[in-house]
Amino acid sequence: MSLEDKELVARAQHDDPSAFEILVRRYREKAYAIAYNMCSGDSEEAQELTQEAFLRAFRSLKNFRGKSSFYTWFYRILVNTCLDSRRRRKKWERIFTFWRHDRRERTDSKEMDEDYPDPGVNSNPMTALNSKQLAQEISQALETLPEKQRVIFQLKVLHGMKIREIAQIVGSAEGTVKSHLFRATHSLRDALQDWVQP
Amino acid sequence: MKNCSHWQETLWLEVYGELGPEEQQKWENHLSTCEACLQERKRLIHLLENVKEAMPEPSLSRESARALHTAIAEKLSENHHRAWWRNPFLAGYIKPLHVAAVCGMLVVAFGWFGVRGIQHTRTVKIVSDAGVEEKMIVNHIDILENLDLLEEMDTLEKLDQVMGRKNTTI
Repeated sequence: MSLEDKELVARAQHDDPSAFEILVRRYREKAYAIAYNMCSGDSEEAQELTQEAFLRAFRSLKNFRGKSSFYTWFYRILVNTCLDSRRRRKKWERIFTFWRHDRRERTDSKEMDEDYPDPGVNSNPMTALNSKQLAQEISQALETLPEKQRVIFQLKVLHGMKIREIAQIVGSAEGTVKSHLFRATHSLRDALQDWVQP
Repeated sequence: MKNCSHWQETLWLEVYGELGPEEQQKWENHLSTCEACLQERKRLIHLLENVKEAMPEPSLSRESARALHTAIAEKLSENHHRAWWRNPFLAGYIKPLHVAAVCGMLVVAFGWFGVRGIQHTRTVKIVSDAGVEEKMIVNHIDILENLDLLEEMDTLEKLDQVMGRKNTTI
């Protein structure tokens, strides 16, 4: 934990509004990016979740003992907030709109099949598909991963965190994180075969 | 050509930038002799670069950042000025909803046992009534058991009276 964070946390624990403001300014970008990736690119939802995570963190700041760094503690709250929201959304989707979701999925896959060029025609798919389509395919591949694998892969690859930090954020041992990361990489490597060849 | 399976973890750790300096040296030595691992490394790096390029880190616009600050500041100040009865108990561990749920359960539990209690005393009364009736039955059990005999004796007595009257008239 950097000294500045320690100081800011101590001040925030004594309800100093300027300390809250500095902490928000320091971590808002990263927090928003994590939330954005975890809620599949919905910017409004990402902003709401970022706000909720900050509020949750500040409300329970008095319980923070400084055993880990502030940012891993805060990102843990953020990841849990995003996962809770995602689970809630999935549950309601399953209850009320499963048939609509199913129909949409079928239509999407049909549309994508039509959009994508025949791999045989173009030897290098990267030149044929724009990055948006690639992002869509990656998102779909990520959606098929189990929750923990997906979170760990996103934190590592998209946000460049260290395995040690990820272990603190998701509350698992480093070995478990490595194992999840390797499995996720393996699954994605299989799912994105066309993008593996340099 | 397959890459060496026992080097796979090292390969991934190196690609993810998590390999220690000692292992790095060993890995580099292996790479200089193993074409399959070298190719697999290239493929994995290429895949991860594609993923990073396709999904760049989004950034908050200035307006969104300002809105976020304002919303957080407002909610925090609301928290400070919140009425005492709206504050979560015990630093948020027990929320009013939890307390309401527990109270509801207690009311239901006491209500249930209360009713059962009243019913219990009523059943005691019923049992005691039944006891009195049972005692009465036990007291008169001889009569009840010999009811037929008594009826027969009664008939014989009446017959005897009739016969006695006939004899006096003759």
